[in-house]
Formats: sequence, structure tokens, C-alpha cells
Amino acid sequence: MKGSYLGEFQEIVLLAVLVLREGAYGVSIQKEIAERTGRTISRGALHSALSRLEDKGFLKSRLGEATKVRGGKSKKYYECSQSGVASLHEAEANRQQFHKSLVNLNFRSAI
Amino acid sequence: MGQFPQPYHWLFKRACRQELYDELAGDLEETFDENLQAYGLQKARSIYKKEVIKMLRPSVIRPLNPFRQLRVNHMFKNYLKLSFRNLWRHKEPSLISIFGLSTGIIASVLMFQYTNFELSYDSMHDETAGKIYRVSRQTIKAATGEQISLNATQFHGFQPNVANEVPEVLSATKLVQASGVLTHQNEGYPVPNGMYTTGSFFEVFSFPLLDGNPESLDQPGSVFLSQSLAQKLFGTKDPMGQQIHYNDNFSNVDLELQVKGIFEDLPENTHIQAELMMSVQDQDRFADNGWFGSMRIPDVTWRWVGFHSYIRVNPQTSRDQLAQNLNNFIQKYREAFDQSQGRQTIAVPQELADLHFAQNVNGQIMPSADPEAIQIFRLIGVLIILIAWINYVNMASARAIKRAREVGVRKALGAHKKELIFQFLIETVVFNILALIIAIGFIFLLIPVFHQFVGKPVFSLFQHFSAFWFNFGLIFLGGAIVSGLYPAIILTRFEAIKVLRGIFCNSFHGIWFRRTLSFLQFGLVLLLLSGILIIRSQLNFMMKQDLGMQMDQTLIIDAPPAFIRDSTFVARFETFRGVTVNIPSVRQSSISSNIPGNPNNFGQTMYRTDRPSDESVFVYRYSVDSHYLPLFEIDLLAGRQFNESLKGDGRSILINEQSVAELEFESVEDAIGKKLHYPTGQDMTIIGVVRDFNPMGAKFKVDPMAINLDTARVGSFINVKLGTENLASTLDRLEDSYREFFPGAPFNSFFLEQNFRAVYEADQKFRSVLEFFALVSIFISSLGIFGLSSFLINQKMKEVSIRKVLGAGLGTILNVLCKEYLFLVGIAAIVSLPIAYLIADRWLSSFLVSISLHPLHFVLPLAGLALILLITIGRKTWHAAKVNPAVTLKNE
Repeated sequence: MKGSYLGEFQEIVLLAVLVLREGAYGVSIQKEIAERTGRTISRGALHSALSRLEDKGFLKSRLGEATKVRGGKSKKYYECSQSGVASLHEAEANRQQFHKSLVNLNFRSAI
Repeated sequence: MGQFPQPYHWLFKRACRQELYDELAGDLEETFDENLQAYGLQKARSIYKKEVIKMLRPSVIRPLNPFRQLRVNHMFKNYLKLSFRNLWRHKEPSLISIFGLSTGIIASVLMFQYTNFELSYDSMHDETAGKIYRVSRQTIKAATGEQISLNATQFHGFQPNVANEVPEVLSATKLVQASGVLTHQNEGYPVPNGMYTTGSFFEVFSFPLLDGNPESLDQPGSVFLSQSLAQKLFGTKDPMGQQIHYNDNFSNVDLELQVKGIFEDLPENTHIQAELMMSVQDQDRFADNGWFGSMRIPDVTWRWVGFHSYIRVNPQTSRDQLAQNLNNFIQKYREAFDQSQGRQTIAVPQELADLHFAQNVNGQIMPSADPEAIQIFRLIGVLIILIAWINYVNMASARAIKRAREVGVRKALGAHKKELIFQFLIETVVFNILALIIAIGFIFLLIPVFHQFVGKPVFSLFQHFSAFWFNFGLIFLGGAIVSGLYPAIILTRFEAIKVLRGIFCNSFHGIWFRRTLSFLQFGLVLLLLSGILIIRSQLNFMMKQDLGMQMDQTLIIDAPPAFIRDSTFVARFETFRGVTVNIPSVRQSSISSNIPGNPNNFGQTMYRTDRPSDESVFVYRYSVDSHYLPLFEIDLLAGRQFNESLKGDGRSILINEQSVAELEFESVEDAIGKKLHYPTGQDMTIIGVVRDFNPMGAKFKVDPMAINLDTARVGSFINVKLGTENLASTLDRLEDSYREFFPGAPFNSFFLEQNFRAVYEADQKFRSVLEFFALVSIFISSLGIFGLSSFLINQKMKEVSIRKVLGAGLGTILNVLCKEYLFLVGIAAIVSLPIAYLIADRWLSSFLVSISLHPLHFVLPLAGLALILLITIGRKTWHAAKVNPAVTLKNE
């Protein structure tokens, strides 16, 4: 299926959401990614990714409570869906495959 | 926190899709706060700005959505249907509101048309080729510069020479008012407004001349008639070339004239009113024949006044420059004489458009209008519409609450805020348009009545003000929308859930808004009521003032014209007089040069023979016979009355107290026996002093007067004092005698009081108009109060019922229902009555004699307001107080 490919960036985002478990929302996802990978990503890009992932069905969202810090605006929490987890496994499996082949080929000679 | 850059914040709010807004904006804010802690304000702000810009991606930006428009257009028909249905369902409040608004529109349209008319006076001339001025004449004391008088008229010699000697003046004309009687084929036609003028009249003014050549008016023996006058005299025959006879009331001179021109009837909105124009040459001719004693016209051309002079001036000339040049021109001719009198004459050019409102100028053709009155009327016009709209807003916003359910349901079904507002706006506009249509219908019906009421055909010039009415229409539409906006906005702010749950109650804002509006209405009503009272008091006071003469029961008969007066006239007149006095109900009869109510323009400068000639005083002259003083019961303070048998009394005069003061006599007795030098060359002896009498009424100050004996009976008016019996038969007998003694003379009579009252006509009209519109405003306010009250009472019913159940008496209940009103009335009184006092005080100080303000002037309006409240809400409140609580509470 066309839309079911997981881009690299989207994968990172999905992973971050999984890692954050309950507390995955815009700002926290951004921070998590920054901490783990050292990448500062733009909020716009992040939200595009989040929207696309949601459209693909890999993420589910719910509206949280409003907090004073956010000026009374509620947070949108993201959660990984079953298919999201499945696609992550699939992506991981694909990567593993390639890496296995590389090991078999003896790294040194590949260089 | 709110420290982020507002424009960006606002931009993002507007641009971001609604679904994403909460999430994204919240993220932005959270990050901002963290940045604030970490990096400080500046950096946080710049980061925020960048983030906002970066955030504006296609997926985030809200769609412009043409689809929204489409939805609204579709709903339009539905909204219209709804508006009508709502109107129909709530007939009573709707009717009240529409009625109130219509009344407001009618009143303010009438008001504005009237003020436009008044302001349009003399605007019909084409002034692009040259500005038109009237040159008025100010006389000051040479020594002190103090003004002695400001007169609308100029010297005889001014007009013929001004165009030649003052370069800026393009053309000049002069006119002298004349009243007299036209005779054609033995029919007499009184013409009270005619004039002597020059051919250049049609050069200076743009009045159309329908037939004839303007230059004909410069030849003696010519006359121009107005279209209607020509029709009256000649019917369908061609008037040109016809011979008519004219007798002048003032001078009693006769003229044989030939019709040389016809001009279009002069419109109502000009200060010049004339049906008849004759040449000044004709007046010159008979003036030269002994009016000035031994002097001829060239001698008096710079001393004879009474000529209203108008000039057309080069448009680039400044008024000051013009005034200076005119002064130099006049000084050339007047300096010598002025100096000998201790005075100076100054030319005062007045713009034509200002003349209708010119105050304090003597001798104007028509009494001037009060510019302040016009401003007040305009203000009232605006106020009335405002009141009507305020009423609508009040009632609509009150009723809006009842419709909260409807709004709630609509919102739940997905109606957008804008759509709801649109729906209510449509309702308001429909409503306003209905009111407008009804108003226009009524206005058409009322036009003739209104014309009668104000005395001027103000709607005849409706098309002239089309620009104004177009603006009015726009403002009306705008106002309608604005007045609908408030209720619309309150309604749509409700949160759907809260409304459906019935949690909604009166908003705090709503209550205060309504209170303020009611307060304003009450204040206005109080102001208007006290205004009416005060104006009435003042006018009555002025009319009842002791004027030093008794004018009741006095009939005036126009004295026979000059062509009747041959050498037998004096004898005939005396016999006539004797006959009239013998009629049982005639008390007295007398002849005089003028009558109360007609401005006396006949005055001359004269000086005491025992003082230097430059201490002259301008004294107004009256000519009467010896029966005049007793007829009018004018008191003689010193000296004696005229005695016809004494030949010397032909050179005797009576002066009034004011003359005694201005001529600086020590006392009234001191004046007796002294002589005054008249400009015609004679010295007249003062034989008596009369108490000041005021033939023009309390509005005017008493001028110095000198009365001489009319030995030749040249007076223009016969005064007859009547008893109250047998009025009709007395009048008939008087007419018969008149025709018997003066065959061929037209008989015209009227009551003096009528003539006198005409002086106050303008004031009375002002009072009537003001009263009328004040009452209209009060009416509209009352409607508003009534409409609102039914609603408010319903609101309170629950509270009332509970109180009743708990045992409250009738008094307490009434208190609960009324106390809000009483409170508002109290505050309104405290604020508006002092304002009324201040305004009244200022207005009254402009009068020579005025009433003093009395507490009653302010207490009565308060009582009036209480009465209005009682009438409008009394019945409903009473019923509400008596309602069985079970009825109200059973629905809870």
C-alpha cells in the first residue's frame, strides 16, 4: 500500500511517542527527540508528521485538560495504535535484514 | 502569560485552522514560557515570532472557505420568513416597537426638512460670478466708538455710485419696501409687499424674469408684477402694457404705472418678499416734491436712508478688503455731516446667506430667524431617532433572552456564530424598513398639516435636498444595523449547553445597559417637559407685559389712499370721525401714521436747540391726531396734550420718557417748553411728555419717540376703539360710512391684536414646534417604557409570587416591582433638572424682560414623569401584584 511506508523522520516520531507512553504531546515529543538524537526539529515539521501518522492510522489522539501554562488551551495527547506498533516492528525488521546481510558480507570487504 | 508579541499572536489565531488552534497555540505558549525562563524575554519573543512564521504551513492555515457564504445566502429566505413570523407571533411588543420607531422617523424627517429649509434661505443665487452682500450701516459715536445703531438700510446715494467708485463691486441694486393699493378697472387690490428698486436687481440676484427687459425698471412709470399677481389682476389676458394705478400707504402718493415686466413668484426661502416692483425713480420724483422741506434730492442723497442695498462683488475679494473700500467710499460723502453730529458711519457688508439669521439689525425686510433655535431643532431631530432606536435595542435585547432557547438549539445543530448574527440583523432590518415604510406613508399625509403648522411650505423644496436625504437613508440603514447588532451579539454569545440546560439568567451587562438607557430616557423627558413649561411661561409673560398702551378691542381701518385726498379731505375726515364716534359701540376713533405691530422705520436725527448740533439723537417719529392718546390710554406724565384749536400746535411735539433720557433733560418737567431741531429745518416745541409705550411689545426695547400733530390728516391708519356689543352691525356701519365719505377707496379692516401678535408669530411658532416634538419624544419614550415594563414584570413574577407565599403585603410587592423605576427616576431628576436650569437660564438672559425660574418649573415635570409612569406601567404592575402566586409557581 502506498501510504504505509514509514519515513525515517516519521519513524523517529513514532518511536518518541511510544517511549513517552502517557505524556506524548507536541512539546514533549519535540524535547524527547532533541534529547535522544540531538536533532532540533521544527514544530511545523513535527506536527505535519504527527498529522500524517494520524491519517495513516498509526497514531491516535485525545484532548487532554487545559492547563494554565498553556494559556488555557488543552493539550492533544498522542498514542501509538496497534498498526503503528506493527509498522515499527516491520521497519525494524527490514533494517535488521539489511544489517544481517552486511555482517555476512564481512564489513571490511564492503568498505 | 501575555508577554508574547501580540501581532504575531493575533495573526496565528486568525490564520490557524480552528481544529488545530488549541493544540498548536498551546504548544507555542508552553515553549515560550520555557524559553522565557531559560533565555529571557527578548530571545523568547524572537523565537516565538520565528515559530509562528514557520508554523504557517498549508496544512495548518485555515481555509478561506467560500462555502460559508453560500450557506448564508441559502438561509436568507428562511431568515426573512422567520422575521415575519416572529413579528406576527409577538404582536404587542412588535407593534409598540414599530410604532415608536415610525413616530421617531416621522418626527425627525419633519424636523430635518424644516431646518434644511430654514438653512437654505437665499441660496438660490448663482454666486460663482460674484459674491452677493448686503451693505448694512453701523452708526457709532465718534468719540467713544460705541455703537448707536446697526441698520439694514443704506443711504440713497450709495447704490448709484458704488459700482463706479469701488472697483471690486461688479453691480449694485437697492430696494425700498413699499405697501400700497393697486387699482385696475375700479377694483382695488391691497399689495402689502411691494418695492421700489432698480433694473440692476436682476443682475445682482438670480430671480428669473419671465417677460420684459430689466432696464425698463429704471424708467419712471414702469411696474413689474409677479406671475400670481398678474394673474390675479388680469386673469388670462396679456398683462404687458396694461395700465394700473398705485397708491402708496406710507406717503399717500399716487402713481400711474404701465406693466413692463413679469417675474416668477419669489420663492418662500428668501428674505426678499415682493409681488410688485416699481422704479426708485418714481419714489425719487415725489420725494423731490417737498418731502424734505426746502431741500432737494441732491442735498439729501447722503442723508436719506431706508434703501436696502445689495452688491455683487468680485469673488476673489476678501470681506475685510471690501469693508475697507466701502468705508472709504462712504466717508468721502458722509464725513462732513457725520462730524457735525459727533458720529461715524461704518459700512458692514453682510453675506447674503447669513441674512436670514442676522440678529440685532434694525429695519430688516423680514424678521430674522433664531440660529440657535435651528440648531436646537437639528439636535432634537437626531435625538428623536436615537430615542426610538434606544427603545428598540432595549426591547429587543430584553426579548432576546426569551429566545435563548431557539439560539441554543440552533447552535447545537451547528449554526455558526456569524450566521446567527446575520439572522438577527435581518430581523432588525426588516423591522426598520417596515417602520420606514409606515413613516413615509404618514409623512405624505401630514405634509399639508405640517406646512400650516410651521407657516412655510418646507416640503416644496424636497428635491433640492436630495443629497441630504440620500445621506439620511444611508445613516438610517447604518443605524438600523448597529442597533440590531447589540441584541444579536448578546444572543449569540450564550453557550449552547448552558442555555439548553436553562441555567441562563439575566446577564449583568444587560441589566446595566437597560438601566442606563431607561435613565437616559427619563432624563430626556424631564428636560423636555421643563423646557416646554419655561418657554410657555416666558412667552405668556412677554405677551402680558404692560406696554403702556391698551390694544384690545381696537379695529384698524386702512386710511383712504392719496388719490381720494383732495382739499376737502380734512373736513370730510373729521365728519367721518364724528359719525363713527356716534355709533353706539364705538368708544373712540383716531388717525395715526403707524400702528403697533408694524415696525416704525421713520426716524430722524434731531438735536436740542439749546445744545450743540453734534449732540444729536436718533428719534423715531409718530404722527397722530389729538384723540390718539385717550384711545390707547397712554399716560401723560408732564405738560399737556395736543389742542387742535391752537394753530401753534402744528409745531408742537410730545416726547416719551426714553427721549427725555437720551436728550439728557434733567426731568420730564425740564423738557417742557424746550425745542428740538428737525433735519427738515423746523424747530418743534415740546409740549408734553408721555409714559413710554412699546408698540412692538416686550421683546423690543423702547426707542426714543417724538409725536407730532397730524394737522393734514396724512396718517395711514384709522384706529377705532370698540365696545363688545353688536360687533357685526358696528363693522357694517363703519364700512358703510367709510364708503359714503370716501367713494372709490377700498375698505380694509383688521383687529389690532392680530397685527400685534404677528410680531410674536415666529416665537409662537418656535414654541409650537418645540412643544410638538418634545411631546413626540415623550410619547416614544413612554412607548418604550411600556414595552419594557411588561417584560421586566414577567421577569420579577417568580420573586413576587414567592414573596406573596411568604406573606408579603401588597405594599411590599408594589415596592419590589417599582423600586427600580423610582430609583432611576430619582437619579434622572438629579442629573437632568440642573442641566435644564442652566440651559433655561442662558436662553432667558437673551430677552429684555424675562421670567425668573421657579422651583415649580422643575417640580411639575417630575410630577409629569411620575404621571406618565403611572399610566404606562401602573395597570400592569397592579395586576401583576394581584396575581395568585399559585398560577406563576405551578410551572416550576
